[in-house]
Amino acid sequence: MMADTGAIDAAVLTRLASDPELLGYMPNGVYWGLAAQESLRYVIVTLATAADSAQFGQTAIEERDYMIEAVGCSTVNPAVHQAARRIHDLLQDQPLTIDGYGWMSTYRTEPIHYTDADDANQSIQWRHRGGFYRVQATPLRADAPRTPLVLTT
Amino acid sequence: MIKSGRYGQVLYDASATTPVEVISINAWKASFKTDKLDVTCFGDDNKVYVPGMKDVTGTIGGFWNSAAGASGVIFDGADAETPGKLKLLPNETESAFFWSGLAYLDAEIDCSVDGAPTISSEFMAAGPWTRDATP
Repeated sequence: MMADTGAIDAAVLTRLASDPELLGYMPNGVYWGLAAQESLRYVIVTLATAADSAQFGQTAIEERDYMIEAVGCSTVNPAVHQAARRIHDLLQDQPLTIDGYGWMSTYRTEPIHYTDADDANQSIQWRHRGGFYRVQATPLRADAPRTPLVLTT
Repeated sequence: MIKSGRYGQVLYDASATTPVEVISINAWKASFKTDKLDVTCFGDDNKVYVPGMKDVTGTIGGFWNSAAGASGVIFDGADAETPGKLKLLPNETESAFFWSGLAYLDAEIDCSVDGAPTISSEFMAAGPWTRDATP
C-alpha cells in the first residue's frame, strides 16, 4: 500500500493538539489552514512547500515545510511567546510517529515573529509567532525490494 | 521504445552468481569507451586511429539506507578482494535489456546537515561485460 502523505500532516497536528501546555496558552486549539471564527488564541498550521526525492521506482524521502504560528489577539493578552516556545519544544529534533513512514528529522528553518493590525479595528493587534518547520520522512516501503512494476494497458 | 529512468535498477551479488536489487539507488551511469591508438603516419591527410581495448567503468548513486540489501552492499563490495556481479537495467519493465559483468566497487558517502546522506560508487570491470538486448 502506498504511504499516505496526509499521515505526516496528521502527525504534526496530533503532536501539537494533544499537548495540554500549548492548549493552555492557545485555548482555541490547533487548526489546519484556517481557524474557527471568533478564535482569539490559536495555533495555525499550513503547508508552505513540499518536495519528494526519488529512488528507483519509488519515493525515497518526503520533505514538507510547515508554517506554524501561535496567533493571538491583543484584547486577550495572548501568550504567543510562550506558545511559540512550546511549539519549538514539541517539534525541534523530536521524533514523530507517522503511519507508514519512518521519521527522519524535524527542525525549524526560519522563525516567525510579526504583528498585524485588525482590519476592522486598528487599535486591535494580532500577534504571530512561530516558525517554518521542516519534516523529513521516508516511506517504509522504501526499505524493501520493490514489487516488480506491472503496467496496465 | 523510450522509457522512464524512474524504474531503473541496480543489482549486485558479491559472490558473482545471482545479482539482487540494491535498495535506495537513484542513479547509475556506465561508460564503454574504447581506447583509440594514434597510428598517424607521415603524409596522412589527418590523424588516424585504430581501436584498442574497451574500458568499462561507471558510477552508481543513491541515498544512504541502513536496511538490509541497501547501502551496506555497496560498502561491502568496496571492501571485497574479489569482484561481484553487477547488473544495470535502464528500466525494470524491460527486464531483457541490461548490461552485466564482474566489477570491483569503490564507495563514498556524503553527509551534510541539511539533507539525507547520499552514497556514490565507482565501478570498473573485472571481467568481460555483455549487453543483453533480447526483444
